[in-house]
Amino acid sequence: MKRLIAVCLAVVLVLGLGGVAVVANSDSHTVTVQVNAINELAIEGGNFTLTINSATAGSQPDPATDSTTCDVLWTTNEASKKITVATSVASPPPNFTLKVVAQNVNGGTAASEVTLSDTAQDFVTAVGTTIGNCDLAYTASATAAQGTGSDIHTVTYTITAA
Amino acid sequence: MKTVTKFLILFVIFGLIATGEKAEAAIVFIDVTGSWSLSIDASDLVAGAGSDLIDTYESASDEVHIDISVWGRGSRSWRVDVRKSDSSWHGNYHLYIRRTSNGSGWGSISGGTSYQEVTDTDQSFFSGNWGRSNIHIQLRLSGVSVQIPPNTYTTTVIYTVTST
Repeated sequence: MKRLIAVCLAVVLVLGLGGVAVVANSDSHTVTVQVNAINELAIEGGNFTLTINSATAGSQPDPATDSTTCDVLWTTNEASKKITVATSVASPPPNFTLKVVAQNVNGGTAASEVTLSDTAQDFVTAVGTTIGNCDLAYTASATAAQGTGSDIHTVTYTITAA
Repeated sequence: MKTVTKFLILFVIFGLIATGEKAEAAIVFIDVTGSWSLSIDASDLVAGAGSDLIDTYESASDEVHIDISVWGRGSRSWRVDVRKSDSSWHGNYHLYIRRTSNGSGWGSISGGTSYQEVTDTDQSFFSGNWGRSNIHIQLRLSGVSVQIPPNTYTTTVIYTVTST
């Protein structure tokens, strides 16, 4: 009889423990974030004219400069980028020289001042996964021998692979 | 009292304890439908070139639906926990979740109506009793910036319902 009671108790305990077992069930879904390449560049400011109209006697005409009218802004989420600059006027420029350099650069490193040509040249380097901006500092110059006239440049800045 | 009678009394008492309704747990099932996909590009810049990406994105309020069904005898109360399991997630991202509807059904539902961050560890999301269907779930992602390189980032949100 004792054995029978022990067996019954064991059965009861097993059933009892089974009755309080915690039951869990799971299901899921995914969250996907696709980040596309972003390489945006914009120029703030507008068209402007550099006028060379003075000189010191015995010297070449004074250069004309502007470093306040235009800024370049950029955003990139890719690494190893740079910004290049080129002009629409074919090399060599038919009349005068136009140079540009980046000033007060945030989000990159200014390249040396470049004489604009229709071949892209480095303007800001070491650009990557960043927001940036800089001032555009232009210098136009002419020699007395180049006489008078005008050049109309369309200057293009491009963010590209370094 | 005869031994046999004693045995029968003991058996009945223990049997009642074992099969008592309070001690039983019904089986609770959870069914999740939907997913959230987000594509981020230059149109998400706050103010174009020179600005960062919008930091926070929100899914539709009914992006994900949850159905909960209860089977068997015993307690009809349950609790839903939530966690995530990353496969290619970015450490800067923070994922939040909230319940935007009560769904429908016999029982009650409570909690989970304010955004809470989904982490890699189970956290209590909401609870209720009896079956509920068509419970709406909304998700929110924050921590987005241009410092996160182009890629496809994925995590799995796991819901676990437990009988309580």
